[in-house]
Amino acid sequence: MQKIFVTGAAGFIGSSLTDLLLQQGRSVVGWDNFSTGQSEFLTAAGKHPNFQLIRGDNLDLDAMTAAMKGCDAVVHLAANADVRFGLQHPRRDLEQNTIATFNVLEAMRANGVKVIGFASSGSVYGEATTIPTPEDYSFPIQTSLYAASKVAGEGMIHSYCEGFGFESYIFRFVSILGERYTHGHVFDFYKQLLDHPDRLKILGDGKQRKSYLYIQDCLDAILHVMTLGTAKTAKHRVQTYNLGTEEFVQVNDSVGYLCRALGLKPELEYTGGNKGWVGDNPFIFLDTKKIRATGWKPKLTIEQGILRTVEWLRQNQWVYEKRT
Amino acid sequence: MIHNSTYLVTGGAGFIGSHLLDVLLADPATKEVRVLENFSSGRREHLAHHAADARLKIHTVELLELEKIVPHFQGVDQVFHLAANPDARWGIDNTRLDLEQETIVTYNVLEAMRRSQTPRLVFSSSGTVYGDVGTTVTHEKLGPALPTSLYGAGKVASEGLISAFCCTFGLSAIIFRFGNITGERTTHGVIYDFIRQLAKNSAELKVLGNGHQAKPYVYVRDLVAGLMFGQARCRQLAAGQFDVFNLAPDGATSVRFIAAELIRQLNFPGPTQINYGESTQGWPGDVAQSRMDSSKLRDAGFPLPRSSDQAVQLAIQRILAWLPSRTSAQDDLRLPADARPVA
Repeated sequence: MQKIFVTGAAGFIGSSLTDLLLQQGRSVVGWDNFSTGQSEFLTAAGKHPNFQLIRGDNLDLDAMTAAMKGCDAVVHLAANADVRFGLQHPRRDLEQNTIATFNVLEAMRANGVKVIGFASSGSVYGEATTIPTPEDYSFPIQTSLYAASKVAGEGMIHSYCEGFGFESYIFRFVSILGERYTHGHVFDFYKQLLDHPDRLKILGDGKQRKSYLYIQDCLDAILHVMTLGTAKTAKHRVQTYNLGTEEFVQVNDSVGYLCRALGLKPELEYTGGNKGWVGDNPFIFLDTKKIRATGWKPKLTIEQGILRTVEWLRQNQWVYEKRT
Repeated sequence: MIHNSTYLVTGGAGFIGSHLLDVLLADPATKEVRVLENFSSGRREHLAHHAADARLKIHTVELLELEKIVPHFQGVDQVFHLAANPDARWGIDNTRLDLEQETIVTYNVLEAMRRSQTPRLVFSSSGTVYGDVGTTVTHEKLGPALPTSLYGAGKVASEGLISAFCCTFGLSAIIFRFGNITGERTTHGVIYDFIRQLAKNSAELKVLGNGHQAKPYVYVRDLVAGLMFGQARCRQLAAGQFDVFNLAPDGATSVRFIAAELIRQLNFPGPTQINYGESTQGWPGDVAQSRMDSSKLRDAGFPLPRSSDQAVQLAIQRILAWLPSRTSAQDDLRLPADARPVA
């Protein structure tokens, strides 16, 4: 893990990972198509001698293969990240997640790169009946095309490990927040409050339970197990880890933290029902015993993570211009 | 059977598809059967006996071409999506094959159904979705899905897509996870390979792996009865619902049993030397051991009529009876010249 190819390097998680890897003295080749990535996030990295940015699309296998040359590991984060758009653009998840992951694996095979970390999602468990949900939970019942595409990605990674001797780390995240967070509940709520501080519209009944993890805790977890090399000795050389905290909050709690931090008391309007949108998961709460057993644990609580997020959004309101 | 039904069968000239067509067309209540085929492994000879049946419409199309397939879904009551890369081994040499012929093709079928408001799907998945779990008996709720072949990965991806399309767009679906399927019109698999070898030289049979690989086998016509049960079941589902069933007998049949039974039924005048390899796997990605629990399907009202060993025995008998009737063989599968099949 000396020269790492990071897909989605200009995104929220990708740019944060890039900064951390550079800080640790490693080299990074950043790959992004800038469909949602922000060049501002790579301002610091761009000045670092060990960083190289290559603009390219995950559907362009030849360009990706060329860009990956000389790397010894991949962290594949690029994805269509917004679960909600599956309804309008069902093909987007297939292309930007499933086919993109296939291309990453093919580019690795062509370059002889065998180590991959993959950002999957807690949404792969669908409407799990076991809460908190462990990694070996039964075959998922999906609720979104996004989740289906992550399942597809995981399946391909498994078969490449068996067929071509890859070493893989699959991370099923809860929602990640923190500095550079640009989509999700807290982002949307803050945007609404900027526009109209006196009222806040909440999709669903506000009682949807959500679990969040702070970005730096997420990155620590990824690099912790990839550095330990836990997959080297695993069956089929694959390790799958849930990433999250041991607590959860209701959407209403997030709203409370946010409003307190901003000193606002908006009128709350609920759209009703227990789902925020078609395909929304009422509750993702992951059992994280497996990753904790490797010695990792999160440093921030959900509330602390939300407060850091709000503080960053307050100082970086430009992201709302870019994301509309 | 429902009156005036229009069916669409992808891969309808294939091994399973053609047997399904026989059943659908045997029913006078069937209004129309549309077959979408690219004839990559499907064969015209499998459909030749239906040439006079005007209800059968064969469309030669690539399922990868979404815009071309969409019109065929208009007015369809029930889709059977059987088209796939039929052989799990091929993905090692051509890694794109399963992505395209499983995942993207399934996406296209679902998208065509969504656009045409086709309500129901029966899908052929596979026990390979469970991955390499040894002799653990797999039931539908066993997790996680850790496929070891790109074929299995394609089935996992397809199941995920079906689930998402049902939940998001209100389709209904039955997913079957099959054991190994065998019978007349076979186009690949261990019995197919063995017969081709023995047709060249009946004195020797080379086996990939040590022959102790053991999986559950289903006779193709029993499987088709299961598909028909599945489509009836599908009609009972509310919009947006789907269900998953294993379809395989209890127990398993070893490659050694298959080799011995095949040689017994071929009844050559001289002896056949069977040479086994050393690996526990037939090939990289092969799931050497598989045991499946089909009690969910049995409890729902569909029991398989025979064991895995009996399915293999019957299949070999039917295959040997079918071989001489092949009219336009595109491969070198033929009855060995010196065979004297036992009745």
